[in-house]
Amino acid sequence: MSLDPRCALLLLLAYLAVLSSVPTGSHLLLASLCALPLLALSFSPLPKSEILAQAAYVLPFSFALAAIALLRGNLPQALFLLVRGYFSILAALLVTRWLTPLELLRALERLGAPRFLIIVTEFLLRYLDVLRKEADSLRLAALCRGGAHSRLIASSSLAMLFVRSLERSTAIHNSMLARGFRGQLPRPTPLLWRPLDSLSLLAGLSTLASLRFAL
Amino acid sequence: MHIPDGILSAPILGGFGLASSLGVLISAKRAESSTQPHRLPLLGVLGAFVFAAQMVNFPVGPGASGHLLGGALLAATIGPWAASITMTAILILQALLFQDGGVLALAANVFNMAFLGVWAAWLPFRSLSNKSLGLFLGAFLSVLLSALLALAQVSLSSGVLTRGLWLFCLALFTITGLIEATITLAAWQAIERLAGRSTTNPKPLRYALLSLSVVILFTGVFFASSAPDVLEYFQHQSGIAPSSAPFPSLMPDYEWALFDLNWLRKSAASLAGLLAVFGLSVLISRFVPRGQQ
Repeated sequence: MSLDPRCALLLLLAYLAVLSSVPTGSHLLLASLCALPLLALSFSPLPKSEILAQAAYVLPFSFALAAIALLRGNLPQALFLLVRGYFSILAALLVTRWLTPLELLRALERLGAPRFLIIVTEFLLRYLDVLRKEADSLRLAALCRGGAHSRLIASSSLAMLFVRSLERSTAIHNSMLARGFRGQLPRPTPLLWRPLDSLSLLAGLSTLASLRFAL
Repeated sequence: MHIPDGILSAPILGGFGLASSLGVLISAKRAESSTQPHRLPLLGVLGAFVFAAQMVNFPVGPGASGHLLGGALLAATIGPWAASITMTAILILQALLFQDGGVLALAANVFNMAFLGVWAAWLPFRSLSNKSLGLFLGAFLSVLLSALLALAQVSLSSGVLTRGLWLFCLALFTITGLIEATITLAAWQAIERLAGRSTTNPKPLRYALLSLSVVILFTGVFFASSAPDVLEYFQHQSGIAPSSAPFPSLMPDYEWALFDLNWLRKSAASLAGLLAVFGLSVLISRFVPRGQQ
């Protein structure tokens, strides 16, 4: 069973919105909402322990706030901040690991994000690794020349990276023109919204609404 | 500065969600109309440049290094509308691929860094005739204001931040802002050098610093404390203070006896000291090889 990326993204946003609206003392509601991503994870083919560990990535930020709350003698609020932060990122991870970045961007576009923004993001995604490798080469070259602690070498490396980025963008545009680019990027595989997606979205939203208003 | 999910309250998320959505729509429209088709890949590649540039560490002090954040450099190179869109694209990928910042909190992060951060950098850069000074100030304000707004959002949502923590964070963000400003300016000047067109003229900055020093010299005496410094205080307290100076001093107690007025005596002594240090620095720079300085 595979959902349309738009449906998955909308369900994620609804879940995060409901989770962010939970008041501090509502333990039952918080526990029920926390159970939902765990349930989804148990049925998903994703690596469970890896996802659970990766979700702890957010903890340093939440932990700092929780520590402040704890120092002020508010243990329930400290725990609440930690739990809410952890399960928010767990839910986000489930969706972002399940869908590819391009599917996510396509879903954002179909949900109303400006096409120009999506195209810029796609270019960024495409050339992210290319420029990272360039930066890595420059860093290695600086290290080999003994310039690890030189501000001049660091700024020259950045400038060189910038100029190479400009050159790269010109080369990309020339290749696009050679492939018939006329100002619009084609979308070869449109997203397909099926009745199953409508049903899933309805079921998900009803569950969240009933939990939020019943508990 | 990237706020994760689970921290911000629903009203903050809703308010900044609306503001960011409007901002993205307007910026995308303005950036699209002002960007020629051949520059379309440039925005994405510059976004990737900012990601990659964050791998280049800058030495910023003894044992410490920092990296470029990039909002000010983007604003200075491609303008505020395109820079806002590029920063938004960076934040989207950071949230979706690297879990750096929340998915729902993306709206608040976009407002803080892609709009406030970029425009806070752009306005001084655009307004000041000295571009280096404008960029330095812009990069500093970009980081400081973005971080302070993020802190305000977190504080309003969680209500855990105290006045002391606010002051601590303000000091921390000021340092971060100065680091970003230094790195941005160094990168900008290197880009200018590499592009073979130096638009920066250091003379106005030197004159401004010189004028500021002279103003401080002549007005600082009115605000200075007349109490002894810590060392003198303990010398007097412990009774080991010398009864007279071991050798004759030209300007004892930082006063030049040539003048009658107290403030003028102190200011003249300070100015003489400043000129002596300047002269010594010039001599050192002339006679000591640069590599040994």
